[in-house]
Amino acid sequence: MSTPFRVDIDDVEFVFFEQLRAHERLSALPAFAELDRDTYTATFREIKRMAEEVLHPVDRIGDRQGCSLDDEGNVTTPEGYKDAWDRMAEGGWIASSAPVDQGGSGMPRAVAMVCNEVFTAACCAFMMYPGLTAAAGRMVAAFAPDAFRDLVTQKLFTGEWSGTMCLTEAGAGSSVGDNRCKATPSETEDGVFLLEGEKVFISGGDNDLVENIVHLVLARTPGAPEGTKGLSLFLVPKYEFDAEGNLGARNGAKVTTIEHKLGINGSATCVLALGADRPCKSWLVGKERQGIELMFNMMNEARIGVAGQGVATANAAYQYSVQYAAERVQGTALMRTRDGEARRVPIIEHPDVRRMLMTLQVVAATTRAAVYRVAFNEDLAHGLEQTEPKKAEKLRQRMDLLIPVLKAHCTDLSFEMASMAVQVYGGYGFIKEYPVEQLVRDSKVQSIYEGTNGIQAMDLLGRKMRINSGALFMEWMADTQRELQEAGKEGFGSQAAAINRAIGQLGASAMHLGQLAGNRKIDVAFLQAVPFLKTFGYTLLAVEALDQARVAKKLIAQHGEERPLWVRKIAGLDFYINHLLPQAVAWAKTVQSGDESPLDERVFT
Amino acid sequence: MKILVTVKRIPDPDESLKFAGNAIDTSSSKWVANAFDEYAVETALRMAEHIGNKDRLAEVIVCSVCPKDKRQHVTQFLAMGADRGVIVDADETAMDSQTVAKLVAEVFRREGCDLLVSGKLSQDSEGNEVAQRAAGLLDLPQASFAATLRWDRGANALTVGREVDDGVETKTIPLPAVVSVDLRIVLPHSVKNGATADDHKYSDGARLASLRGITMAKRKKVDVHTPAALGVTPSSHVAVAGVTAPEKRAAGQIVDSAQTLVNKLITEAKVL
Ligand SMILES: Cc1cc2nc3c(=O)[nH]c(=O)nc-3n(C[C@H](O)[C@H](O)[C@H](O)COP(=O)(O)OP(=O)(O)OC[C@H]3O[C@@H](n4cnc5c(N)ncnc54)[C@H](O)[C@@H]3O)c2cc1C
Repeated sequence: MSTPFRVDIDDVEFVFFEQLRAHERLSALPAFAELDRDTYTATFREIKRMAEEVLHPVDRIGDRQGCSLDDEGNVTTPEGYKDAWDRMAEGGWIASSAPVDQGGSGMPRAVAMVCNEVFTAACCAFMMYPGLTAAAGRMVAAFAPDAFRDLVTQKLFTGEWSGTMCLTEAGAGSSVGDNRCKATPSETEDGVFLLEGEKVFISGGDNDLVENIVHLVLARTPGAPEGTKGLSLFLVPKYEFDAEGNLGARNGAKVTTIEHKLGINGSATCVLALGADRPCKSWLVGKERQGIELMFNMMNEARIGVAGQGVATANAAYQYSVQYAAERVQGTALMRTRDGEARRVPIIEHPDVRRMLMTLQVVAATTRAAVYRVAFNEDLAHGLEQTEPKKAEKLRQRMDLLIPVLKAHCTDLSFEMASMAVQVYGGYGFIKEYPVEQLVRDSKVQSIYEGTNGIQAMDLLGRKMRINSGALFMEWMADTQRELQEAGKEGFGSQAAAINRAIGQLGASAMHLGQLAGNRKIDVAFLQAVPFLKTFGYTLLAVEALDQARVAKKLIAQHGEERPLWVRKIAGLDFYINHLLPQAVAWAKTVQSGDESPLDERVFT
Repeated sequence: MKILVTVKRIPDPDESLKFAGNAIDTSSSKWVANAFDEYAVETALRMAEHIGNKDRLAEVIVCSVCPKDKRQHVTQFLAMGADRGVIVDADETAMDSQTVAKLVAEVFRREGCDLLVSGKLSQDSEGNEVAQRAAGLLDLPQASFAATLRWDRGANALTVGREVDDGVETKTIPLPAVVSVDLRIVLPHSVKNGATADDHKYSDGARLASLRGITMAKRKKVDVHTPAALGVTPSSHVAVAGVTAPEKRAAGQIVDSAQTLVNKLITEAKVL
């Protein structure tokens, strides 16, 4: 008997309706004026049902079966994937926040984030296909030439076709600029470029879910400079198509291998050969040498999407663990260990198990809040662009600052939480009959793709902290400190003070690294990029824990009753302050240590 | 053809019960749609749609007696595909089922409906009364506990497989009529309308709403009436005498042999 998959939609609603008051604030924006709380509630209900009834049933089978490849380069996905895809497409879930006239469902991004998170918790391998398809659709919608923009956008957003993103090559992973794929203008066909090269690690590089696939490929045109600046973006269809979308000849993009992996086995991770056995025709998206700029445009969204995957894992880990712990009977209550006759108790009664569950619970809840908040701010920024451009700009800058923190911190934590779930289960956690070992394997990749977490930390330190001489960071500190003051007035004085001390340490760490950089000790500073990001991450989540507790306290007063969800938020804050926030301070100490030992040339020769 | 479907909100049956004095305390309950009403709406939608064709064979109207600002369940059914809604604005928790049936019957009459579809019962009170009472008030033929349903449009009649204690009773009733549905009505082949291919396989259970359906739901028309406007004065033939929680189950006993068990069943439990 395994542990059933369960979605805690009440917690989703707590963040959305109570904490962010998203329904009220979104209704002030013309794009979402028609949507109200009932609509969102209905949406969340269907999200839960989709996750539990359609997606989770293919989770385990996809893990066990994996994908297979035939000699023609056709991938077969696991049993049930095709049906799940069709139901996603039918229900309009593939591009939930894309505009309706483009084939999307017109929901706010905050709702798309709920879909992303809850569906990923149900089956993260499957979600790679719609996730990348929607991302490709957004690129095409924004930058593709008129000739095929509307057609391909529609095909992708409705799930008739699927899409991929092809950046990585064997020699160009973190360093995208080392891309070697070549694009040569066709001598016979106007506007066509012929691609030659090989892309690796391409998620969904082929599949049997749809009739056609479009790959968005970075490649270099003749005479273009080395590095990222010389890259252009191309659209490569699996089958050529005409203006009506009728399919033509097979194009020369072919999967030659699929990787055998640690996890997300249902997602085909492909080596894609371009122009190897037949010419690979492609069409320019955007302008020549604009490729990396276009990719950057989509990067925030992709990274916050991966942060959302981390939230998914943490929440699934918590939900599985808390159910198992309530049922697994082992040992007696601590106070009665000497009594041989004492009743055997479920492990949820043991203090150490409760500590683990509490960790899982607060990480699941605070990462969820932080990530939804960013997605929601994106909606606000979008909606305020015309009327209040300054406000919109500030929101966007805040996102720029926080996204590397969230991408890295949520996905580091997700793997830790998956591992902690295994610990809660004990031996059975290690056994395939239960779902948590798969969570460990499936979640690891989150810290690697979409820019490794090391690269995120470098982005934070090297770019985001330096924008306007650190103004984004200073603004975040000031806004947060104002919030802490408010919390102090509401009876959260000691907790606010603890968070304020962590912010002080975070600020001191930033100063310290700034000075190192000023003294040209760049390598010593970057040695502390990850520790700095962790300091930031643990502090940032503390602010969410505080905000949740404040909201819960008000709700308890208002309703005159202590609902378990609200009590968990208040207890969660104290737990966070005492168990997790000290890690922010500890990491800050590392940052400011001045340690250079890893850079000693003699240690790794 | 107009199909009226009754839909009710109930306190979430998955939540544990709370008591306040002599009554169930629903003040902090999460309200959800009654599951049997989901089956009823699914039934009506399967009757109305012609799979593979855009035409609809019937208009599906969902009707709920509830406070007009507590209509989440109505929104949900509009999202699922019902065409429009009618709300009778009242605190239904204070009404007996005869009043609810009168309100439903009156809406049915005013809308000029041809068919009333109800869930066989609501999961909170498990009354299993409204459809039958409405049929009586409207003086229409009825088939309760439907597990299968075939609409013969030529004959303007329904053939209904009813789940009864000793099997399935099949009966044919002319329209207009009243039907209450049971769980099995949402199996893949339970409902046939003579237009959608007979071998069409629906997915098991009530359908999921599409995201598009959800966003469209708010644009659908919902009329709100008061009981007074419908000419119905709430009756109160039923009074709640009291509500108590069932006794906690006593701890089990572990016996050392089958013989002891048999003895105890004979002498203590007196069941053998
Ligand atoms: C399952 C899976 C799916 C994927 N899907 C896609 C996809 O759909 N499309 C796509 O284009 N790619 C995809 N990728 C590729 C992924 O984005 C890359 O693996 C990732 O960017 C890292 O590149 P790499 O593997 O070459 O590692 P490397 O770049 O070799 O990195 C190895 C290590 O070195 C560190 N490192 C590298 N450079 C630096 C530096 N300058 N400073 C400090 N540290 C550094 C990294 O942080 C890492 O720890 C996928 C990968 C996986 C595993």
